[in-house]
Amino acid sequence: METEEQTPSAFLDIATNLLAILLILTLFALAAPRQFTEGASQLPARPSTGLRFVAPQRERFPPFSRFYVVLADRVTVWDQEAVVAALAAAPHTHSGTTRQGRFDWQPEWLVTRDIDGFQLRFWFDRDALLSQSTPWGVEQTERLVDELAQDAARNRIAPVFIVYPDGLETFVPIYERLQARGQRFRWFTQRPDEPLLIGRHVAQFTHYSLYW
Amino acid sequence: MDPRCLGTPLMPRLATLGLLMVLGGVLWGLARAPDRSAALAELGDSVEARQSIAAWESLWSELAERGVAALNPATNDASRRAAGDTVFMRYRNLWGPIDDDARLAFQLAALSGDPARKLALIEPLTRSENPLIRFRAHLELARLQRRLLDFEAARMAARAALAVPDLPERLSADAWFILADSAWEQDRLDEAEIALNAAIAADPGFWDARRLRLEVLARQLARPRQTGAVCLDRTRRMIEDLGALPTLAEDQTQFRDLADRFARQDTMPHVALALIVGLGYRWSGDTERARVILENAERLHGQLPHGCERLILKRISGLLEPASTPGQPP
Repeated sequence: METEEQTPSAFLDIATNLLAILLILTLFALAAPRQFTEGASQLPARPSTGLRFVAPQRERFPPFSRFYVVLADRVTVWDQEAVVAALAAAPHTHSGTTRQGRFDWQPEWLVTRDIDGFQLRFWFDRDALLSQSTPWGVEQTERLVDELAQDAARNRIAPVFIVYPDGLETFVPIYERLQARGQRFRWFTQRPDEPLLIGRHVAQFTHYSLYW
Repeated sequence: MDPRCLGTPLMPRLATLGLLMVLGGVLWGLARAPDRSAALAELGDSVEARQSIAAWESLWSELAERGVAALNPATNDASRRAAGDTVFMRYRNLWGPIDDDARLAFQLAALSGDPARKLALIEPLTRSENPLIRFRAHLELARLQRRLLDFEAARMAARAALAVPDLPERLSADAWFILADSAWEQDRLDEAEIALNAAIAADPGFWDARRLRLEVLARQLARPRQTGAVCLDRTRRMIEDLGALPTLAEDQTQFRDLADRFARQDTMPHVALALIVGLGYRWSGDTERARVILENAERLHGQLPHGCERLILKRISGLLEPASTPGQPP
């Protein structure tokens, strides 16, 4: 039960809180127009006459990607279409397997951006890759480089090499041949314990990551 | 002495004083507006010229008042990601209720690495009853054909997307952009310029469209047979795009990057490009390089319509006046 001694104190609390809220609102009101008109990134540029670095331009319509997995003495094309087929056959199963490994399909539950957004993780089965391919050599490198040139000319497909630590030695001659031919390609190192992650989502357009 | 003798000449004296004041006001007003009349004399007194000059002067007075911040594309949408490759990536929540099967088809097309399979997955969706799905399917076909370098098929699909009725104007920006890009790749610059103007009008926060328009306008300005008014409009749009791009990308270093790219050409083709490069360096903070570019602009005269060139050179002279210090507009 409230006493007479407590009432002034309660009023004082309410008044203090109201004052604090008013103070915060005033601060926001002062800060908001500045933020709106100038933007968070509108810091004045500092004078600079030093070395220039021209950032690479993001390509408006990049080529299509085909992934190759590089292990020690092995180069295998990733059967991406097998994942597409598995998902088409069982659309409500969010994980599955192909002859090259297992995948985890992560569609966003709410479509807040584009309708085709998704993320996919793929764990390669190393033993399966080794058993399904033959040892790699100079001849295979030459043949691959020729095939890649044809893919690029016919369907504008460019290779993406996923290179495991033990595959670096195998990848070096491929890299050199592609460089010498002026063939377009990308390559990434891949930790053995981590899955390949591909997808389409908004964060790709807020970082400098989408350069082909 | 009759007091009326004193009162009679007083009225004309007051009237004269009043008239003198009015005249002074008129003369002061005329003296305040020599630029507009001089500008009209430069471009010719047509409706087109008047509109171009009004927009040009409005741009510079905005710049004088607010600096480069005046060129920020206005938006109340905090969800904008200007680099998104579709309007649905650039802005949040443009989709309503979605059919799961259609969504999966779009996702599988995005996942697939085979262009033929992508096309096969998307094509049936162009017959969807939902206009938004139909629009997105046509747009995706256009994007896929463009990636395959089949420009004619890309244009047909983009036109089909634009033909889908009753959609918000903003959605049309990507289809216009594909039309512009295809025209640019095939060296049809007039078509590219018109399509880019439409794309940017539909979505002023579209970074790629503004970036491509800079390229298109720089080349358009270098071509003969343009009126002074068109030349001035193109230069103004280049300034607007230059000012907007770094804000959209949230990366102020783009001023220097853009200036570097245009300055890389062996010889600067015309004074408009010198102005753009100079402003790029100036807004990046490199006032010394800006000064060098702008000081040399006079030597490039004779490449653009005379009136347009004179107006641009006047602004360049203004920028070279010593009153401006770093950080002050424009």
